[in-house]
Amino acid sequence: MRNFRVRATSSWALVVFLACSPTQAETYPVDDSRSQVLDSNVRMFWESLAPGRGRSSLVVGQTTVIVRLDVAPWEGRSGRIFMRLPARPEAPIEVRWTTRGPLQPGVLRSGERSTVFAGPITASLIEDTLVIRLTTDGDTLERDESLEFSFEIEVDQQ
Amino acid sequence: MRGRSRSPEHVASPGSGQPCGKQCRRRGVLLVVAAMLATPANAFVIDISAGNPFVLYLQVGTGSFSGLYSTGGTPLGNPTVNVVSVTVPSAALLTGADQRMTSDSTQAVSFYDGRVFCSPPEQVYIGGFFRRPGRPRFQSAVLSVDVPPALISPAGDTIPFSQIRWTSSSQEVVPDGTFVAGGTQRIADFYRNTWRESCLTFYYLNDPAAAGNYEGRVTYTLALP
Repeated sequence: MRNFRVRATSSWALVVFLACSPTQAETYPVDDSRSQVLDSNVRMFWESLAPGRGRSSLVVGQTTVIVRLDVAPWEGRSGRIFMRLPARPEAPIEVRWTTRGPLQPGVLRSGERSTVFAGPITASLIEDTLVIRLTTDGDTLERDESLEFSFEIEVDQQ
Repeated sequence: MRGRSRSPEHVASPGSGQPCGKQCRRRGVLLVVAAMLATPANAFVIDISAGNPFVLYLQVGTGSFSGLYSTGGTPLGNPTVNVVSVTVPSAALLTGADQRMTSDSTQAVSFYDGRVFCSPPEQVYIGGFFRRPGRPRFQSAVLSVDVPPALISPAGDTIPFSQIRWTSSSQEVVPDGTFVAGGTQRIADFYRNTWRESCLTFYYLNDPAAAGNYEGRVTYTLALP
């Protein structure tokens, strides 16, 4: 019984600490379950058919993704939306993309995140078409792999 | 990771600040579980695979390339079989002095970057590469040559292929050597993902032989072990 009381006290201390951090932007995952990958099986090809002296052996692939972000919970607020790709232990994967609509073009390396949107959220859905180019070291591409992208939002304080 | 993320609903449900008993703790656990279930499936997935796992290219003598490699060119096939020959002058007969051979190949330029690399007709270009993704990183392809037992004249006389040797301008790519008559001879390793090239000069060793025109064909092969 005594131990239980100690735990409860610690929990409330944590809540108070979180509540007292007014400058900390709040981060939430963004539902992109309505996104559609037009070709989800990307075959990676040598960037150049012949190797170069002292050059790395890069392979590249490309696909198109219709990104649909459900931002209804934050409509009317401002914030920044990031695209994230988990780290790849074998070697980094570089992701470059172009856009046609409200999202920003950019570059991202696995294990990092990159901004795709910044500003006021004026609708419940953000939709755009991303043409994605993937690049990695061919020496590390031994088997088929799945790259799981995700989005998260940092909402500005009101 | 998804379950640990805080949803707006979770943040909006702090406790009342009252001392917490057993019942309160149970309620807290239920709230967390509900937040995890409400977390959206937020990942689009792209599957990647090796599209062109193996590329082999070998050029001996005359070759073809679409442009240059350094400017994005692509290797092309070329069915040419070049001839390396020598006519032994009478003054050299029975001397045993090696006779330098010449080729009908005019390939002087390296398709790697377009620079003049070999000096035909004395030198024969040889080069190539192999590529594959994955490990082991330091795998090599084997450059070998199939050698018949002998060169043969129309009269049926023979000269063993071991009467021909070569020197190489790049020893680390293709070392100097002599044909081993009647077999497959391993002459070099082409390291993975590396352009390899050299210039070969052939010599006839000029041991005594019956007069005549002798011919024979060797075939170079680049293959993965």
